[in-house]
This record gives sequence, C-alpha cells and structure tokens, in this order.
Amino acid sequence: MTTPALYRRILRRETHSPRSVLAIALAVVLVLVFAWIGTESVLALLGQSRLLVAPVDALAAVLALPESLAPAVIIAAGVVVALVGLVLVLIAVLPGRRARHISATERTAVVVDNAVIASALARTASRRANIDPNQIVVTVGHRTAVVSVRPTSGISVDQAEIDNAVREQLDAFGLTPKLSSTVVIEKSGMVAA
Amino acid sequence: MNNTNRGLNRRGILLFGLVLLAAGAGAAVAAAVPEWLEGWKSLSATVSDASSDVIDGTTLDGVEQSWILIAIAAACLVLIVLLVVFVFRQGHGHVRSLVTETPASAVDRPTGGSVVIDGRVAEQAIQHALDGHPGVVSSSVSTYLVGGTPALTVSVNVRRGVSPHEVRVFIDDTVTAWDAVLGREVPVLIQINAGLATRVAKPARTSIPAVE
Repeated sequence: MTTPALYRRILRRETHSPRSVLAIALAVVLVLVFAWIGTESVLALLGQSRLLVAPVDALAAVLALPESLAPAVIIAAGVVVALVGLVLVLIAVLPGRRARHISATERTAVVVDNAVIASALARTASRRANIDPNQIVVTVGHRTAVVSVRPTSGISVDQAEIDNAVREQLDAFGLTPKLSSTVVIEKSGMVAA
Repeated sequence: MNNTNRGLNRRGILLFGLVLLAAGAGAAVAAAVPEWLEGWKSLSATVSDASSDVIDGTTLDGVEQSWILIAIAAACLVLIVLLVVFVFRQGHGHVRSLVTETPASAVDRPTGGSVVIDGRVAEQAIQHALDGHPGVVSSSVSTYLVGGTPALTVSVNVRRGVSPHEVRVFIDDTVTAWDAVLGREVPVLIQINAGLATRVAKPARTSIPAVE
C-alpha cells in the first residue's frame, strides 16, 4: 500500500467508531443464550432435570403465544423489540463519527481531539481579549467552532479582534473538515474577581 | 490503529437488528390484524401437531429422546465457538518489528544478511524526545501493521490550551530526526488527545514556540 493510501485508510479508521463494544456485547448475549439452549438440550437428552425450561415445553410455549397472551401485550412487546432492532440497524448503518479532526502532510498523518482544538482556541481568545480563560467557553463541532466570551463587567471586549485571532489559529491548524468560527460576546458580564 | 474487522462488526449488528426488527414488527402487526391473528393461531396449532410427529419420528431407541436435541446442542456449540473467535478477533495489529530486511527483499541494498529493527527502538527513541516537550503530559508510541506495512502510532496527551499545531510541528521534527537515524521513512500516525491526564494536569502557563 502506498503511503497516501495508507494514511487515508488510517485516518478514516481513526475518525469513525469501530462499533466494537456493541458488537462484543451482542456476541456475549448470544453466547449466553446459545449456552443455555445447548445445556437444556443436553440435560433433556440425558433425562436430567431442566435448568429453567425443557426444550419441549419451550417449543409449546412459543407456539401457544397468540393464545396465551392478549393481542395488546403482543403488540406492545413487538413494538419494543422492533424499536431495539431499529436502533441496532441505525447504529450499524450510521457513520459513527468521532469528535476528531484530521490533517495529513506528506510525512505524517494527524488526528486531533476536538477538546484539544477547543482548549487551544479558548487560550488564544483569552490572551487576545486579556480575559480569564474560565470566562470563555468554546464548542467545537464537525464544521463549526463557537467561542462564547463572558466579559468582565464594565470592560468592553473587541469581538472582531478575538474573531481574527481565532480565525488565524484555525488557519494555522489546517484541519479537515475545515472549521468556521463564530465569536459570541455574552450580554451579561461577570463581576471581576 | 488496530486491525479490527469493522465491516464484520457492522454486518453482525445489522443482522441482529434486522432479526429483532422483523420479529418484533411481524408479531405486532400480526397481533393487530384480527384475520392475521387467526392465521397465526391456526399455523401454531398445525406446527404444534406436526412437531409431536417429528419428535416421535426422530426418537433414538437407546435414549428415548429425539436426535434433534443432539443437533441443537451441536449447533449451539459451533455458534458459541464462532462468536468467541469473533470477540477475540477484535483489536490486535500490534507487531514487534518495524523493519525486516532479508537478503532476498533487499537485493539492491546489500545488507550481508537479515536485518530486523524492533519497533521498541523507535518507540523509546521518539517517546524520550517527546517527553521533553513542556506541553506534553504523557505520550505513548507503538508499532502496528496496517495493510501489511509496519507503521508507528505516536499518541500524546497535551496540556490544556496547548496549540495542536505546535505539538504537531514538534513531533514532525522528531520524526524527521528519527528518519535520519533509521535511514528510511515508515508511516507515522500522530494522535493529539486531551485524555484524563490532561484534565488533571496544570494548564500550560507559557506559549510554547514551535521548533523551526
């Protein structure tokens, strides 16, 4: 595999969930169910007493379902089961994007956690506005970074200046997908410590 | 950067989901439509009658039980083995050697024999260099096989407020220096994270200039 193709493969895998936890959980559930069914079969075969339900009784109970349960109960249970199934289908089909951004040069490939981007932007904004970092909240999404600044009461904050600083820094990062920034100055100020 | 079979994970989850969806929706719809419910009841009765015939027909003389039970137990065992293999197939991809040269693979670069460079050589050299960076709380370097090619993963936890660009430039320089030592380029993935260590660590107090 050539290096660019290798990096594309690595970066795609790094930015999408492998769905391993769910797949393993479902596999464990199935193992337990099959282990139980297998044990019941062997016990019945040897004429031993059952664990919970003997296979013959289980079959009879399943076949008697429409008789033994009220239609409303069957409908409710069916809907619940179908919804769980629908959630699983969606999890299998949706991309499962992780909160990360990527960038690749000819030499290395990089994945950056969104939290790292957010804290770097917060520090930039805090320095440019000469404000405590605790008064700045940065939210980094897939394509947008929102910097919300809570100014100290009585001291005005230059929105355009912060905007420029944040934009400059994002350009320097050179991330994919590109982040567009918005700087919001909160209406209410904060009493200086 | 492991080699988990993600397609298989998703296909497995999809199959499980579709079975639940079909069974649940089927039962709910059948129970909601009176004619279908009657049909379901009569079908159950038919299967119930037929099943006792089948059980009688398949009974083994020695044990007085149907051999279908043996088939079920065997099928369960096979499925359990497959599922356990599937679970333990997750992850992996770690390799020990970063570079392997045999006389046959390096015809144009005579080495006079086989050369193997252990991944830990790179891991320790790069990690030692990274720990000198004040913005890095912790780091780990490991060797993985990606598509048949050994590649290095450099994973760093950075302090709050540190520019990922600066850290990246620093790591790139380290990697370039490592290339010169190794004499060839291996693919490198850099992960810049804000892990638990970041939350506990003190924020960066000074701006760290990028190493040019």
